[in-house]
Amino acid sequence: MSKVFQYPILKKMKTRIYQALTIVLLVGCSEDGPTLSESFFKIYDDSNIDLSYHPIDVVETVDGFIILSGTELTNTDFQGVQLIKVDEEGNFLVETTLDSYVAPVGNVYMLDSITYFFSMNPTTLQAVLIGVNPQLEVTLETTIGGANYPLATSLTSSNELLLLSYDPLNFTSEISLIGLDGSLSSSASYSIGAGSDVEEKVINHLLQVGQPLPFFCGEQSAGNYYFNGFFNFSFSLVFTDFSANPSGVVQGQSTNAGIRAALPLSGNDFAIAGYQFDENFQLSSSSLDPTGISSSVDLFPGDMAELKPYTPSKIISYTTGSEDYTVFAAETKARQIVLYFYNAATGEVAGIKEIGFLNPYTFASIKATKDNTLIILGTTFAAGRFERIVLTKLSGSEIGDILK
Amino acid sequence: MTRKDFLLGNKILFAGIFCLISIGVSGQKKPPKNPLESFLDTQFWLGLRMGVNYAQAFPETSFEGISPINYSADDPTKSYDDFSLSGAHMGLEMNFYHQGFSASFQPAFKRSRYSYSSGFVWEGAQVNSRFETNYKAEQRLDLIELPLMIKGDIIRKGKIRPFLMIGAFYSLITSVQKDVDVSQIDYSSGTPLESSNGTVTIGVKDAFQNFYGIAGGAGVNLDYWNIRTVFEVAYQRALSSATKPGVLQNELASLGDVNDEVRLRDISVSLSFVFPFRFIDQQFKAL
Repeated sequence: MSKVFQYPILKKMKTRIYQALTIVLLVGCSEDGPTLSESFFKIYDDSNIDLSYHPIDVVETVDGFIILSGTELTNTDFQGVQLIKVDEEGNFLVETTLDSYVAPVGNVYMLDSITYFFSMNPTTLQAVLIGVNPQLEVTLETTIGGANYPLATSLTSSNELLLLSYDPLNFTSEISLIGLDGSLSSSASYSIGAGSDVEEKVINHLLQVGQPLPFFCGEQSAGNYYFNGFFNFSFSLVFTDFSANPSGVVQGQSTNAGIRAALPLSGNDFAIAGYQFDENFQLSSSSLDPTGISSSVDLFPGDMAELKPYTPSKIISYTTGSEDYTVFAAETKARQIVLYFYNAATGEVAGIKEIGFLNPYTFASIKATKDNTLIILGTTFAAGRFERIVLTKLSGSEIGDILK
Repeated sequence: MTRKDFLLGNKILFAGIFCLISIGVSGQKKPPKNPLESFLDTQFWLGLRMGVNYAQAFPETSFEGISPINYSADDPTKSYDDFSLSGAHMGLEMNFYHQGFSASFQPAFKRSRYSYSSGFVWEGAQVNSRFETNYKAEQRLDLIELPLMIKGDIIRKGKIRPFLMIGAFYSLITSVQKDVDVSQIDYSSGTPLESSNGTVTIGVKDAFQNFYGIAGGAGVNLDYWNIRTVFEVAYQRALSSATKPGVLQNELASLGDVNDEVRLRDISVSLSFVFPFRFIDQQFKAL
């Protein structure tokens, strides 16, 4: 080989050839992508042209994910309860429809391998706590006495379920603390306002007629809770410790302005997604007064013009490495799902991720998983017309790329 | 690379090298050559190489973005068109020839194309409740290809010298684009209404990766005037995937399209015009 380089031209080229080969070897070393269980994008198609799917929430189980969805029923206008099981790579495994119940409510939680959620008895309108195992077999069906029209739920730090419901007889919003066996620990009822009746709005919300209302509830700290619902003639964020009267309220403006999602950060600081008629806003951190009366109008910093009017929104916290982020999810006017990553320490936007292209996409839910990924649930319109469930899982490395 | 591929690659390489050595050994028994032939026994050649190629995308593992609820998961599988689209390549041919053997380095810029299609059908309870949509995707890969071939002359005398060749290549991805042509047929009016949803062009380089493989072929050297014209036909077989499994691209995934683990196979026809190096050093006199 050394004789080869005795030719004058090649002698000069010898160093360059070695350099080129080195570069080729370096460039050739490509990084492996995430595994199929770390990252996937699945559209769950049904060949039935007449069916639409309305996903509500997703929960990570021991061997995959369970999606809670609403589906059309022939015997009622309420949404039926459908459960879909997919494996760790997002592949469809099995689905079941619970014929006896309607109007499934998010969020969905898994404790000790049992997935819990609320739905409604279509005859009595009472809330029913349902538990299913990873094989989608029902292990718990308990009617929650006195809780009608279930609207939102949340898991507390003591592993109890917080349930927001509406009482059409007493015209009150009800907040209840319920054990995993369906036992009622605490509850409180707050008037929606004398002479006010919002049952039609509640029913339309459950029937998914018009714009859905942003019902939600949660725990600020042990013994202190909040819910977003009807109170005192407006759709408001209400703070409560289950006393006879709310401890504080951030008033909305009828159903035209208010809070769409809230995440307690520390103390009285919350991450807030709100709306002002057809305008939307996000606050990565805002101090609320849980013991006084304030107005959501005063929180409005300006319109995020890319967001769709009355977009569904959710906020979660996400930690990677030593950095904490607050993730807002919503829908854009371009019919994509959009994720905003805010640095929890600085409040600045650290990255934006849009999901969806060509066909319209809607947003339903977002959660962080045990392996530090994000799963995003929504729908797309296959071929531009058939609404089908979409489940996306973003790996830690993909999220890292977004945050760069 | 799987063990099966590794063994297959080794077998082909050893078989090829054995053939080439056999050709060389048989050549050594021949009587001494005239000075010109002796001069040509060791020579460098450098020149341009160009040609056309036809690719086949071989899916090692299939992946689908659509996960069916009420029909078989095998139904929406992509259907690949083999060796149907022409590509082109152009580059250098650097050839070191010694007593019947050549070591040929052929760096080239190459465009490789393949296509696949998939379709979906939705039906309802009504007679005319039927809708079809079809995707036709064309994949264009721009590569810097680095093949190293060993050529063995079958005939070592005269101006027409056929040869066999075998070697390996490494391909660097520089750019990848995908054109997705969407069409649909709506039967709801009673008469099939066919329409086009247009063509979407997407850059998909992030979903692809460099790959390598083995190659073999045959050709002929034509020694007229002071240049050598090389005509060759080669077959390439990638031993690693050109796609990155698990890499999701929003635009693709949103259409329900996820790349399979694809290994490219390729048939190419090339023409090279190469010049002797020692001629430049004036150690060779023109005929």
